[in-house]
Amino acid sequence: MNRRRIMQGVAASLLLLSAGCADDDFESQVGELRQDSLNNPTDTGIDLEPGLWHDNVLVPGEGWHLYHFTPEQSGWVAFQMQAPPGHENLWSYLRIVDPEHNNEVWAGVGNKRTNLCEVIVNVDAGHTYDVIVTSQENSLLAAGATQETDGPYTVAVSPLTLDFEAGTE
Amino acid sequence: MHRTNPLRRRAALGCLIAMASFTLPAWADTIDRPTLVADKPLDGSTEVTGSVTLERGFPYHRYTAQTDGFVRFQMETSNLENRPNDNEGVAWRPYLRIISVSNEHRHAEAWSSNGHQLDTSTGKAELVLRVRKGEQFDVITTLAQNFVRKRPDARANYRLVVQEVSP
Repeated sequence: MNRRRIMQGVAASLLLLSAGCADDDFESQVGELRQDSLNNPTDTGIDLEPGLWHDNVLVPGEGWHLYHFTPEQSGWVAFQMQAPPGHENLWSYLRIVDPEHNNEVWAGVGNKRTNLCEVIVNVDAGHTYDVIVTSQENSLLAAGATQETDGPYTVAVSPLTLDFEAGTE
Repeated sequence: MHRTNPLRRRAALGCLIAMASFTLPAWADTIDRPTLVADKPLDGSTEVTGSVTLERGFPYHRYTAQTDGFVRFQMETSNLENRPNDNEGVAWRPYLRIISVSNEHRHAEAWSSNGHQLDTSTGKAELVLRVRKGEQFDVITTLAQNFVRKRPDARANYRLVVQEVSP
């Protein structure tokens, strides 16, 4: 009787273990299929500081990185992204969004030779801007297509002194 | 030998023409094939006005930098005087796109902004670039609405103000 119970216990444990393995397999499969996107970028949780460069890497499935920038002072800033010149599948692309200003968006595709992208924005103190980093290829990816971007980049925000006369504002 | 009645032949031809004009789009341009506004180039700091129509939804102006420094493009939209209630009376959201003309320094750069309509009578968009004297850019002045159906889908007047500054 005891031996029978032990065998039943072992069988149950094996079943649970195999179920666990099955779950692991399922998660890894889902993990392989998971891709971030323009509307669902991977939040790095990093707040950019003026004048400091931040290095990171885009990989297949994680081709959209989201940073945050909250200026203490209003004024012009240059958001810049630099990737290795001539990289086969990483062509620098920056997208800046101001959710507090009617979701105003500024985007730029970098110089194909230098792979440097610059987007200049007149920011408002206290607003939090989304700074989204990706590759031009990802921005044009058809639905269901697999991201192939796999390469390093650096991103920064730098204050600029610009003295435009009053325009349409 | 069977001979076609000339009247029937003309009627068939008429039908073909009518079908062709029904199936062919009334618009000619797209975001990838914008229409050059050749009589309004942007040479340095300047200002132009124009209109986005169902026939020409993606007008563009050729800008030539007159200085080394920075340039600011500001686009403003407003509803047509005879169509004040378009978009429920709110000026259409502008969409400004700028594409660099490649040279020894530049290659395939582009920028865009979809602006805002915080003042309902005017939609506004703004882009600022670093430029060298003599560089050229194509400045496409269209509406965010034209991306919804990927063709000209709304009418508006626009004003484009260009200002250059040296650092």
